[in-house]
Amino acid sequence: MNHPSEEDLVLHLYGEADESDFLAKHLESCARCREELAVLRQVLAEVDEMTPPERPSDYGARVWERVSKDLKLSRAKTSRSYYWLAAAAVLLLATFLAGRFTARPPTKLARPGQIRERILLVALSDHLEQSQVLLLEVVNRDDGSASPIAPLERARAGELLQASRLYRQTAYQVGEVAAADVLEDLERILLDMSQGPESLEAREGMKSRIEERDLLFKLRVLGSNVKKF
Amino acid sequence: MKAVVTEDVLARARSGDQAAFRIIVEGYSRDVFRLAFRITGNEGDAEDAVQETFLRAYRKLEGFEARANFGTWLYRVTANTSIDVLRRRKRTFDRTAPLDDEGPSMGIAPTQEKTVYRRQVRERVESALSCLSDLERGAFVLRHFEEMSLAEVSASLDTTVSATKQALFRAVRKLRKSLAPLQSPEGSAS
Repeated sequence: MNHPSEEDLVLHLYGEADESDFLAKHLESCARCREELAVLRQVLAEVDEMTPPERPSDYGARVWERVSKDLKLSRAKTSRSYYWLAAAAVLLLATFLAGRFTARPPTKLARPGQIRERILLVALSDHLEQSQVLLLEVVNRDDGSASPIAPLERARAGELLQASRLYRQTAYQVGEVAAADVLEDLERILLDMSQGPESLEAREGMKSRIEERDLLFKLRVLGSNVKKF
Repeated sequence: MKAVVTEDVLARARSGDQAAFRIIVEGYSRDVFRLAFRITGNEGDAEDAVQETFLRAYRKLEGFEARANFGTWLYRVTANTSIDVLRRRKRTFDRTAPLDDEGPSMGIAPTQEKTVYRRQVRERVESALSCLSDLERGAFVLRHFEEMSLAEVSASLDTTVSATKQALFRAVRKLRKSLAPLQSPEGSAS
Protein backbone atom coordinates (compact mmCIF):
# COMPACT_ATOMS: atom_id res chain seq x y z
CA MET A 1 0.00 0.00 0.00
CA ASN A 2 1.28 3.49 -0.84
CA HIS A 3 1.24 5.71 2.23
CA PRO A 4 1.34 9.49 2.05
CA SER A 5 4.63 11.07 3.12
CA GLU A 6 5.08 13.21 6.22
CA GLU A 7 5.19 16.22 3.88
CA ASP A 8 1.77 15.29 2.48
CA LEU A 9 0.37 15.08 6.00
CA VAL A 10 1.86 18.43 6.97
CA LEU A 11 0.28 20.06 3.92
CA HIS A 12 -3.01 18.34 4.75
CA LEU A 13 -2.94 19.69 8.32
CA TYR A 14 -2.33 23.20 7.07
CA GLY A 15 -4.99 22.94 4.41
CA GLU A 16 -2.41 23.34 1.65
CA ALA A 17 -2.66 19.85 0.17
CA ASP A 18 -4.22 19.05 -3.13
CA GLU A 19 -7.17 17.32 -1.51
CA SER A 20 -8.31 15.73 -4.70
CA ASP A 21 -8.94 12.48 -3.10
CA PHE A 22 -6.14 10.07 -2.51
CA LEU A 23 -5.21 11.42 0.92
CA ALA A 24 -8.72 11.69 2.35
CA LYS A 25 -9.67 8.24 1.11
CA HIS A 26 -6.41 6.77 2.31
CA LEU A 27 -6.84 8.24 5.78
CA GLU A 28 -10.28 6.70 6.05
CA SER A 29 -8.89 3.26 5.49
CA CYS A 30 -5.39 3.41 7.01
CA ALA A 31 -5.08 3.37 10.80
CA ARG A 32 -1.30 3.81 10.64
CA CYS A 33 -1.54 7.09 8.73
CA ARG A 34 -4.35 8.34 10.97
CA GLU A 35 -2.07 7.71 13.93
CA GLU A 36 0.79 9.48 12.19
CA LEU A 37 -1.49 12.46 11.57
CA ALA A 38 -2.58 12.47 15.22
CA VAL A 39 1.06 12.59 16.36
CA LEU A 40 1.74 15.55 14.07
CA ARG A 41 -1.39 17.30 15.38
CA GLN A 42 -0.22 16.77 18.94
CA VAL A 43 3.25 18.17 18.25
CA LEU A 44 1.77 21.25 16.62
CA ALA A 45 -0.72 21.67 19.46
CA GLU A 46 2.16 21.67 21.93
CA VAL A 47 3.85 24.42 19.99
CA ASP A 48 0.73 26.52 20.63
CA GLU A 49 1.78 26.68 24.28
CA MET A 50 4.02 29.56 23.26
CA THR A 51 1.44 32.30 23.62
CA PRO A 52 2.71 35.87 23.39
CA PRO A 53 2.31 37.82 26.64
CA GLU A 54 -0.46 40.41 26.79
CA ARG A 55 0.37 44.03 26.06
CA PRO A 56 -1.21 46.98 27.92
CA SER A 57 -4.09 48.85 26.33
CA ASP A 58 -1.88 51.88 25.57
CA TYR A 59 0.84 49.72 24.00
CA GLY A 60 0.69 51.43 20.61
CA ALA A 61 1.18 54.86 22.20
CA ARG A 62 4.13 53.57 24.23
CA VAL A 63 5.79 52.12 21.15
CA TRP A 64 5.30 55.40 19.31
CA GLU A 65 6.92 57.27 22.19
CA ARG A 66 10.06 55.12 21.85
CA VAL A 67 10.06 55.10 18.06
CA SER A 68 9.59 58.85 17.71
CA LYS A 69 12.58 59.48 19.99
CA ASP A 70 14.70 57.15 17.89
CA LEU A 71 13.50 58.77 14.69
CA LYS A 72 14.79 62.13 15.91
CA LEU A 73 18.12 60.59 16.97
CA SER A 74 18.36 58.66 13.72
CA ARG A 75 17.82 61.79 11.67
CA ALA A 76 20.53 63.58 13.59
CA LYS A 77 22.87 60.60 13.25
CA THR A 78 22.26 60.18 9.53
CA SER A 79 22.82 63.81 9.02
CA ARG A 80 26.08 63.67 10.97
CA SER A 81 27.21 60.66 8.92
CA TYR A 82 26.39 62.45 5.72
CA TYR A 83 28.41 65.45 6.79
CA TRP A 84 31.19 63.14 7.90
CA LEU A 85 31.14 61.42 4.53
CA ALA A 86 31.04 64.75 2.76
CA ALA A 87 33.92 65.95 4.90
CA ALA A 88 35.86 62.79 4.11
CA ALA A 89 35.17 63.34 0.43
CA VAL A 90 36.39 66.91 0.66
CA LEU A 91 39.51 65.68 2.42
CA LEU A 92 40.03 63.07 -0.29
CA LEU A 93 39.46 65.73 -2.87
CA ALA A 94 41.95 68.04 -1.20
CA THR A 95 44.56 65.26 -1.12
CA PHE A 96 43.80 64.38 -4.70
CA LEU A 97 44.02 67.93 -5.85
CA ALA A 98 47.12 68.67 -3.82
CA GLY A 99 48.96 65.91 -5.64
CA ARG A 100 47.83 66.85 -9.11
CA PHE A 101 46.88 70.43 -9.45
CA THR A 102 49.11 72.38 -7.10
CA ALA A 103 50.82 74.09 -9.99
CA ARG A 104 47.62 74.85 -11.87
CA PRO A 105 45.53 77.98 -11.66
CA PRO A 106 42.44 77.98 -9.41
CA THR A 107 40.11 77.99 -12.42
CA LYS A 108 40.91 74.31 -12.91
CA LEU A 109 39.11 73.63 -9.63
CA ALA A 110 35.85 75.04 -10.88
CA ARG A 111 33.77 71.84 -10.47
CA PRO A 112 34.61 70.39 -7.07
CA GLY A 113 31.11 68.92 -6.62
CA GLN A 114 31.41 66.78 -9.72
CA ILE A 115 34.90 65.60 -8.88
CA ARG A 116 33.83 64.76 -5.33
CA GLU A 117 30.96 62.72 -6.65
CA ARG A 118 33.27 60.96 -9.03
CA ILE A 119 35.67 60.02 -6.24
CA LEU A 120 32.81 58.68 -4.15
CA LEU A 121 31.45 56.66 -7.05
CA VAL A 122 34.86 55.15 -7.76
CA ALA A 123 35.21 54.28 -4.07
CA LEU A 124 31.72 52.74 -4.04
CA SER A 125 32.45 50.76 -7.20
CA ASP A 126 35.65 49.46 -5.62
CA HIS A 127 33.75 48.59 -2.44
CA LEU A 128 31.16 46.60 -4.39
CA GLU A 129 33.86 44.70 -6.27
CA GLN A 130 35.75 43.81 -3.10
CA SER A 131 32.52 42.65 -1.49
CA GLN A 132 31.71 40.45 -4.47
CA VAL A 133 35.17 38.87 -4.32
CA LEU A 134 34.75 38.12 -0.62
CA LEU A 135 31.25 36.71 -1.04
CA LEU A 136 32.41 34.54 -3.95
CA GLU A 137 35.17 33.13 -1.77
CA VAL A 138 32.56 32.08 0.80
CA VAL A 139 30.11 30.69 -1.76
CA ASN A 140 32.79 28.74 -3.64
CA ARG A 141 34.65 27.53 -0.60
CA ASP A 142 35.24 23.81 -0.39
CA ASP A 143 32.58 22.27 1.83
CA GLY A 144 35.13 19.91 3.30
CA SER A 145 36.99 22.83 4.87
CA ALA A 146 37.46 22.43 8.61
CA SER A 147 37.02 26.06 9.60
CA PRO A 148 33.65 27.88 9.20
CA ILE A 149 35.41 31.04 8.01
CA ALA A 150 39.05 32.11 7.85
CA PRO A 151 40.25 34.85 10.26
CA LEU A 152 41.50 36.92 7.33
CA GLU A 153 38.06 36.82 5.68
CA ARG A 154 36.50 37.85 8.99
CA ALA A 155 38.79 40.86 9.22
CA ARG A 156 38.07 41.86 5.61
CA ALA A 157 34.35 41.52 6.22
CA GLY A 158 34.67 43.79 9.28
CA GLU A 159 36.40 46.50 7.25
CA LEU A 160 33.90 46.28 4.41
CA LEU A 161 31.03 46.36 6.91
CA GLN A 162 32.04 49.79 8.24
CA ALA A 163 32.25 51.24 4.74
CA SER A 164 29.02 49.57 3.69
CA ARG A 165 27.10 51.22 6.51
CA LEU A 166 28.23 54.65 5.40
CA TYR A 167 27.32 53.99 1.79
CA ARG A 168 23.91 52.65 2.80
CA GLN A 169 23.16 55.67 4.96
CA THR A 170 24.22 57.97 2.16
CA ALA A 171 22.11 56.05 -0.33
CA TYR A 172 19.05 56.49 1.90
CA GLN A 173 19.87 60.12 2.39
CA VAL A 174 19.92 60.80 -1.34
CA GLY A 175 16.81 58.69 -1.99
CA GLU A 176 18.56 55.73 -3.67
CA VAL A 177 16.30 53.26 -1.86
CA ALA A 178 16.94 50.29 -4.18
CA ALA A 179 20.70 50.69 -3.81
CA ALA A 180 20.29 51.11 -0.04
CA ASP A 181 18.32 47.86 0.13
CA VAL A 182 21.07 45.94 -1.68
CA LEU A 183 23.66 47.48 0.64
CA GLU A 184 21.53 46.51 3.64
CA ASP A 185 21.43 42.88 2.47
CA LEU A 186 25.18 43.02 1.97
CA GLU A 187 25.61 44.50 5.44
CA ARG A 188 23.76 41.58 7.06
CA ILE A 189 26.02 39.05 5.38
CA LEU A 190 29.16 41.05 6.19
CA LEU A 191 28.05 41.32 9.82
CA ASP A 192 27.68 37.53 9.97
CA MET A 193 31.04 37.03 8.33
CA SER A 194 32.82 39.55 10.53
CA GLN A 195 31.54 37.83 13.66
CA GLY A 196 32.34 34.46 12.13
CA PRO A 197 29.75 31.69 11.83
CA GLU A 198 30.25 29.30 14.73
CA SER A 199 29.67 26.17 12.73
CA LEU A 200 29.90 24.78 9.24
CA GLU A 201 26.11 24.59 9.25
CA ALA A 202 25.93 28.32 9.97
CA ARG A 203 28.31 28.96 7.07
CA GLU A 204 26.10 26.89 4.84
CA GLY A 205 23.15 28.98 6.02
CA MET A 206 25.05 32.12 5.06
CA LYS A 207 25.80 30.70 1.61
CA SER A 208 22.13 29.85 1.16
CA ARG A 209 21.11 33.38 2.08
CA ILE A 210 23.58 34.86 -0.41
CA GLU A 211 22.15 32.60 -3.11
CA GLU A 212 18.47 32.89 -2.14
CA ARG A 213 18.63 36.68 -2.20
CA ASP A 214 20.64 36.76 -5.43
CA LEU A 215 23.03 39.05 -3.65
CA LEU A 216 25.98 38.51 -5.99
CA PHE A 217 23.82 39.31 -8.98
CA LYS A 218 22.38 42.43 -7.32
CA LEU A 219 25.87 43.62 -6.41
CA ARG A 220 27.01 43.12 -10.00
CA VAL A 221 24.05 45.11 -11.33
CA LEU A 222 24.56 47.90 -8.81
CA GLY A 223 28.30 48.00 -9.55
CA SER A 224 27.61 48.18 -13.25
CA ASN A 225 25.12 51.04 -12.75
CA VAL A 226 27.62 52.94 -10.62
CA LYS A 227 30.27 52.59 -13.34
CA LYS A 228 27.90 54.03 -15.94
CA PHE A 229 27.77 57.38 -14.14
CA MET B 1 -1.90 41.67 9.52
CA LYS B 2 -5.25 43.33 9.42
CA ALA B 3 -5.55 46.54 7.43
CA VAL B 4 -5.75 49.15 10.16
CA VAL B 5 -4.75 52.22 8.20
CA THR B 6 -6.31 53.87 5.20
CA GLU B 7 -4.61 54.46 1.87
CA ASP B 8 -4.64 58.16 2.63
CA VAL B 9 -2.68 57.62 5.85
CA LEU B 10 -0.22 55.43 3.98
CA ALA B 11 0.25 58.01 1.26
CA ARG B 12 0.86 60.75 3.83
CA ALA B 13 3.30 58.58 5.77
CA ARG B 14 5.18 57.79 2.56
CA SER B 15 5.66 61.47 1.94
CA GLY B 16 7.23 61.84 5.38
CA ASP B 17 4.23 62.92 7.48
CA GLN B 18 5.11 61.80 11.02
CA ALA B 19 1.56 62.17 12.33
CA ALA B 20 0.47 59.64 9.70
CA PHE B 21 3.33 57.34 10.59
CA ARG B 22 2.23 57.53 14.21
CA ILE B 23 -1.17 56.13 13.19
CA ILE B 24 0.62 53.22 11.53
CA VAL B 25 2.78 52.53 14.58
CA GLU B 26 -0.15 52.66 16.98
CA GLY B 27 -2.32 50.54 14.69
CA TYR B 28 0.15 47.74 14.03
CA SER B 29 2.19 47.57 17.27
CA ARG B 30 0.35 44.60 18.75
CA ASP B 31 0.52 42.54 15.55
CA VAL B 32 4.20 43.36 15.13
CA PHE B 33 4.91 42.41 18.75
CA ARG B 34 3.04 39.11 18.44
CA LEU B 35 5.01 38.07 15.38
CA ALA B 36 8.32 39.32 16.82
CA PHE B 37 7.73 37.39 20.04
CA ARG B 38 7.01 34.18 18.19
CA ILE B 39 10.14 34.50 16.12
CA THR B 40 12.49 35.61 18.89
CA GLY B 41 10.79 33.62 21.68
CA ASN B 42 11.67 36.30 24.18
CA GLU B 43 9.78 39.37 25.41
CA GLY B 44 12.80 41.69 25.62
CA ASP B 45 14.04 40.76 22.17
CA ALA B 46 10.54 41.08 20.77
CA GLU B 47 10.33 44.65 22.13
CA ASP B 48 13.68 45.46 20.51
CA ALA B 49 12.43 43.98 17.26
CA VAL B 50 9.21 46.04 17.40
CA GLN B 51 11.15 49.26 17.74
CA GLU B 52 13.67 48.35 15.05
CA THR B 53 10.90 47.19 12.71
CA PHE B 54 9.16 50.56 12.78
CA LEU B 55 12.44 52.43 12.34
CA ARG B 56 13.28 50.31 9.30
CA ALA B 57 9.74 50.65 8.01
CA TYR B 58 9.98 54.44 8.29
CA ARG B 59 13.22 54.47 6.31
CA LYS B 60 11.91 52.10 3.65
CA LEU B 61 8.37 53.42 3.43
CA GLU B 62 9.19 55.67 0.52
CA GLY B 63 10.13 52.61 -1.53
CA PHE B 64 6.93 50.77 -0.66
CA GLU B 65 4.68 50.42 -3.69
CA ALA B 66 1.21 51.72 -2.98
CA ARG B 67 -0.49 48.89 -4.84
CA ALA B 68 1.22 46.23 -2.69
CA ASN B 69 -0.33 44.91 0.50
CA PHE B 70 1.00 47.00 3.36
CA GLY B 71 0.35 44.27 5.97
CA THR B 72 2.41 41.72 4.01
CA TRP B 73 5.15 44.26 3.51
CA LEU B 74 5.25 45.10 7.22
CA TYR B 75 5.24 41.36 8.02
CA ARG B 76 8.32 40.99 5.89
CA VAL B 77 10.09 43.83 7.65
CA THR B 78 9.07 42.42 11.05
CA ALA B 79 10.15 38.87 10.21
CA ASN B 80 13.53 39.98 8.84
CA THR B 81 14.14 42.31 11.77
CA SER B 82 13.17 39.64 14.31
CA ILE B 83 15.47 37.13 12.64
CA ASP B 84 18.31 39.67 12.79
CA VAL B 85 17.64 40.28 16.49
CA LEU B 86 17.56 36.53 17.08
CA ARG B 87 20.85 36.04 15.27
CA ARG B 88 22.52 38.84 17.22
CA ARG B 89 21.34 37.27 20.46
CA LYS B 90 22.48 33.79 19.44
CA ARG B 91 25.95 35.21 19.11
CA THR B 92 25.81 36.83 22.53
CA PHE B 93 24.90 33.76 24.50
CA ASP B 94 23.67 30.27 24.01
CA ARG B 95 20.00 30.26 24.74
CA THR B 96 19.65 26.47 24.52
CA ALA B 97 20.46 25.91 28.17
CA PRO B 98 19.93 22.32 29.23
CA LEU B 99 16.47 21.73 30.52
CA ASP B 100 15.45 19.60 33.43
CA ASP B 101 14.49 16.29 31.92
CA GLU B 102 12.74 15.02 34.97
CA GLY B 103 9.00 14.79 34.92
CA PRO B 104 6.81 16.42 37.55
CA SER B 105 7.65 15.43 41.08
CA MET B 106 5.26 13.04 42.77
CA GLY B 107 5.22 15.20 45.87
CA ILE B 108 3.72 18.26 44.13
CA ALA B 109 0.03 19.04 44.30
CA PRO B 110 -1.89 18.33 41.04
CA THR B 111 -2.40 21.97 40.07
CA GLN B 112 1.24 22.80 40.76
CA GLU B 113 2.20 19.68 38.89
CA LYS B 114 0.26 20.86 35.87
CA THR B 115 1.82 24.32 36.08
CA VAL B 116 5.32 22.89 36.28
CA TYR B 117 4.61 20.54 33.42
CA ARG B 118 3.21 23.34 31.25
CA ARG B 119 6.25 25.44 31.97
CA GLN B 120 8.45 22.55 30.92
CA VAL B 121 6.46 22.15 27.73
CA ARG B 122 6.82 25.85 27.02
CA GLU B 123 10.56 25.80 27.64
CA ARG B 124 10.93 22.76 25.42
CA VAL B 125 8.98 24.42 22.65
CA GLU B 126 11.08 27.56 22.93
CA SER B 127 14.24 25.49 22.86
CA ALA B 128 12.98 23.46 19.91
CA LEU B 129 12.08 26.62 17.98
CA SER B 130 15.51 28.08 18.69
CA CYS B 131 17.10 25.10 16.89
CA LEU B 132 15.42 26.01 13.62
CA SER B 133 17.26 27.97 10.96
CA ASP B 134 16.11 31.52 10.27
CA LEU B 135 14.12 30.50 7.21
CA GLU B 136 12.59 27.47 8.94
CA ARG B 137 11.53 29.51 11.93
CA GLY B 138 10.15 32.33 9.82
CA ALA B 139 8.22 29.94 7.58
CA PHE B 140 6.86 27.96 10.50
CA VAL B 141 5.83 30.97 12.59
CA LEU B 142 4.11 32.72 9.71
CA ARG B 143 2.28 29.58 8.55
CA HIS B 144 1.44 28.05 11.91
CA PHE B 145 0.77 31.01 14.18
CA GLU B 146 -0.13 33.74 11.76
CA GLU B 147 -2.04 31.34 9.52
CA MET B 148 -0.70 32.86 6.33
CA SER B 149 -0.86 30.79 3.15
CA LEU B 150 2.41 29.41 1.81
CA ALA B 151 2.25 31.96 -1.00
CA GLU B 152 1.90 34.81 1.51
CA VAL B 153 4.70 33.40 3.66
CA SER B 154 7.02 33.19 0.69
CA ALA B 155 6.18 36.79 -0.24
CA SER B 156 6.84 37.92 3.32
CA LEU B 157 10.16 36.10 3.50
CA ASP B 158 11.12 37.12 0.00
CA THR B 159 11.66 33.56 -1.16
CA THR B 160 9.95 30.98 -3.37
CA VAL B 161 6.90 28.91 -2.43
CA SER B 162 8.94 25.78 -2.96
CA ALA B 163 11.72 26.95 -0.60
CA THR B 164 9.07 27.97 1.95
CA LYS B 165 7.42 24.57 1.74
CA GLN B 166 10.71 22.74 2.25
CA ALA B 167 11.58 25.02 5.17
CA LEU B 168 8.19 24.27 6.74
CA PHE B 169 8.70 20.52 6.35
CA ARG B 170 12.13 20.69 7.92
CA ALA B 171 10.77 22.81 10.77
CA VAL B 172 7.96 20.36 11.56
CA ARG B 173 10.36 17.42 11.39
CA LYS B 174 12.78 19.09 13.81
CA LEU B 175 10.01 20.12 16.18
CA ARG B 176 8.61 16.63 16.15
CA LYS B 177 12.01 15.21 16.99
CA SER B 178 12.64 17.73 19.78
CA LEU B 179 9.19 17.45 21.33
CA ALA B 180 8.82 13.68 21.00
CA PRO B 181 9.73 12.94 24.64
CA LEU B 182 6.81 15.08 25.80
CA GLN B 183 4.17 13.06 24.06
CA SER B 184 2.52 10.76 26.53
CA PRO B 185 1.11 7.49 25.20
CA GLU B 186 -2.39 8.74 26.01
CA GLY B 187 -1.75 12.00 24.21
CA SER B 188 -2.52 14.01 27.35
CA ALA B 189 0.57 16.19 27.41
CA SER B 190 -1.23 19.42 28.11
